[in-house]
Amino acid sequence: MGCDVVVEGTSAGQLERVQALFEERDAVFSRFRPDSELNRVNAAGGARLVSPLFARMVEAALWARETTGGLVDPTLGAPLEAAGYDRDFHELTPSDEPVGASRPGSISLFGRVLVLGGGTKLDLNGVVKAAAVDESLSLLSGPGFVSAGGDLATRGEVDVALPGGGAVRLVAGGLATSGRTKRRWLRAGEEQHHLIDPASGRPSASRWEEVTVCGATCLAADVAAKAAFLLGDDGPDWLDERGLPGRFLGNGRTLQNAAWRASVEPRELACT
Amino acid sequence: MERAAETRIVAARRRAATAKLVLGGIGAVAFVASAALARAAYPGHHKRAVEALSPPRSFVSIVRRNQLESGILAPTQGDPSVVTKQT
Repeated sequence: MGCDVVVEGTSAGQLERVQALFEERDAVFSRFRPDSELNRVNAAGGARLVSPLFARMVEAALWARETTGGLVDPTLGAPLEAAGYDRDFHELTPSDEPVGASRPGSISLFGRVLVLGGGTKLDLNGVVKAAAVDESLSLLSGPGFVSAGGDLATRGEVDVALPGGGAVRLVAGGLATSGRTKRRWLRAGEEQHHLIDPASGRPSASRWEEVTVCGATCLAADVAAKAAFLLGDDGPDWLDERGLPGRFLGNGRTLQNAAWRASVEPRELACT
Repeated sequence: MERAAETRIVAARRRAATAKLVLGGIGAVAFVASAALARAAYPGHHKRAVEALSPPRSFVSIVRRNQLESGILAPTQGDPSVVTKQT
């Protein structure tokens, strides 16, 4: 998945199972492994019987799309490639090729039968990574946490350093950060990044650099962080309407929505 | 003489065909009746059409909506042991 996985509070046997889980997910869902099921599905198009694991992740991705009103869309593989992210991130080099634009594709899931519209390519990386964190946490028998590239879920309290400085204590649930400061590259002289705006089919022009959200699970936090990033100025209110704490970093300034402030700012206790 | 014998043979064939029809009918009725009795009386038999063990649609939609609920944050109380960052 192109990220470091940190696990705390696990036995050697549980660590092996966590490692096996991430290796399995990478083998099935990598966009950069020719033999992955994701690449076979994308190449074949049309209707296809997929594995139970694949169907489960597509179902989670469709839930994300429904919950975010189409912002977090699993069918943005083609626009991502058109923006130049067509190989492993570490192999990307600046290119003079013009940036293409492509619209979200069409997708339907009937049990384990997946139907992709013509030209549709799936990118399930975000959902798969966050779900792997949540499922890895369930493999731990006691308190601990699992973090994959900075997206984490915990059982028990853990202090977490935040982008741009500062820290917060995650008491329960998950914390995820989405943004454009790390996975970015140059194409036709313009900076590109991996968070595609489904409305334009191009990397989002959001004013945020990084958005951190706390959710009941790592998957919820990751999906909400991506949606809040893509919504730009409306992101903080969108999170507040759902009671989700969010922290936004942009132009060197930090903005916390009301739910975040209510969670982390010290409050005076009323004495009666 | 021969004609009378032929008539008896035809009549016998007709009686045999009728008997076969009646016996077949009785057999079919008996089969259906015993199947119905088995359905009604055998303890392990389905009394109603089998339905998938799936929760009601309204319940599923509530659960899906709740998946986007918040976790719990608090002010930090020590040195961070992990960092959240964009990957």
